Amino acid sequence: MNYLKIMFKGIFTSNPVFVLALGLCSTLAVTGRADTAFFMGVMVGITTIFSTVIVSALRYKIPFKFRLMSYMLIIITAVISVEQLLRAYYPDMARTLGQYVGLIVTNCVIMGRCEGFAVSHGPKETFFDAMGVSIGYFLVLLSIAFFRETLGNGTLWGLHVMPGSYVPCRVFNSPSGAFLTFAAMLYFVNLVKGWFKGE
Amino acid sequence: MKGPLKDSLKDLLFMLILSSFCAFLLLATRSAVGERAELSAGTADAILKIIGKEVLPSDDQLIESFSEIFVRRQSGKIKFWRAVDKPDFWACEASGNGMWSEITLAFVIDTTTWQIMGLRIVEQNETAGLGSRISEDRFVEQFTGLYGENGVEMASYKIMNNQFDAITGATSSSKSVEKLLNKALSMLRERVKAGDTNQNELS
Repeated sequence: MNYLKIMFKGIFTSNPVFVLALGLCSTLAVTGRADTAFFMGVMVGITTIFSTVIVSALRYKIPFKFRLMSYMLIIITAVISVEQLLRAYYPDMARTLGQYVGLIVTNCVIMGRCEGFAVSHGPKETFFDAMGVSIGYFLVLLSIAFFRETLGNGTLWGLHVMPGSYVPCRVFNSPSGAFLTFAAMLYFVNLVKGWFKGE
Repeated sequence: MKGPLKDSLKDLLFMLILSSFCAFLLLATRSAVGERAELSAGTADAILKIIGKEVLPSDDQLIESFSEIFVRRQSGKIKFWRAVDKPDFWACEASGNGMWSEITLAFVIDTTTWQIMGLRIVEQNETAGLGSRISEDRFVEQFTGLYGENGVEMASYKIMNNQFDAITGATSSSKSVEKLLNKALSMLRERVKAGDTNQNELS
């Protein structure tokens, strides 16, 4: 039960994007299409789970003054492995995501969980925390991509979902569209949070 | 041994073990993925078509068939493979900037005569109806039989045996193909002149 609580905390109350405001660069950059958002979410999830569990397992062994270097080493290993698999099995997606796959190394969500949770908790709790955070990040990416692709192209995962008469609003494909969608969703999330708190 | 020195050595030992563990994991992934990370099915398909091999239906079979014929000699933006049975046959995949996005081309060359056996555009996203015509057979077939030792040249009138004609209205995309091909040919020439041996494999 405790583990589920940790996981739900990562998804909702400590959502990395909407609450902690971490990993915003990739969130805005890869959400133009649902498929790219899906793959990015999965890759960040795998990397987060792998890195935080390893850091947690080694937490008493990692020297304090070398801790950031150790985290980076573990994260880089996970990212390169995931990138190799993506390039091998989904080469088109690897090309579409381009440099953002490599930039997962600098994703604040992963480093944040290593430093903020994994160093002070056991591997089991860390696993559920990483799962929660990854699912939270994944859901945010998919929801932003859902609005941007539907409104900007009239498609979802490449399939036409809007009526034939719909004129795509191309601003949603641009970076400004990403900011607008993110701001609107953040406003809505905060509004819902306010209602729950009775504010 | 004094305390601080002992601690530092312990820290260094830990970092050494962690680095080795990470390196081992990377090697394991690399060996699990194999040639797939370096070779796309599109490139394998293009090169097998150039050498006249039967086109196989699935990506796995394409890569397997390609790996039986060629062995990789160089990775990166410009990749080389050398034929196992005919060491003078080289396959190459080169990626570089086009007018709007990256162009990836593949070609096969015989380094005894330096004749290009064929060239295909594996991937491009140039202007529809103009630059995108670099993928058409009419354009790529010009490269078959061109003499590539000193590079190829884009020209309005073909006088030399290393010249080809650009696509009308798509000079920039044609120029990108010329630049990319010349870069690959120059690298290959250096590699062949230096003597490609097993020692410099995958450098």
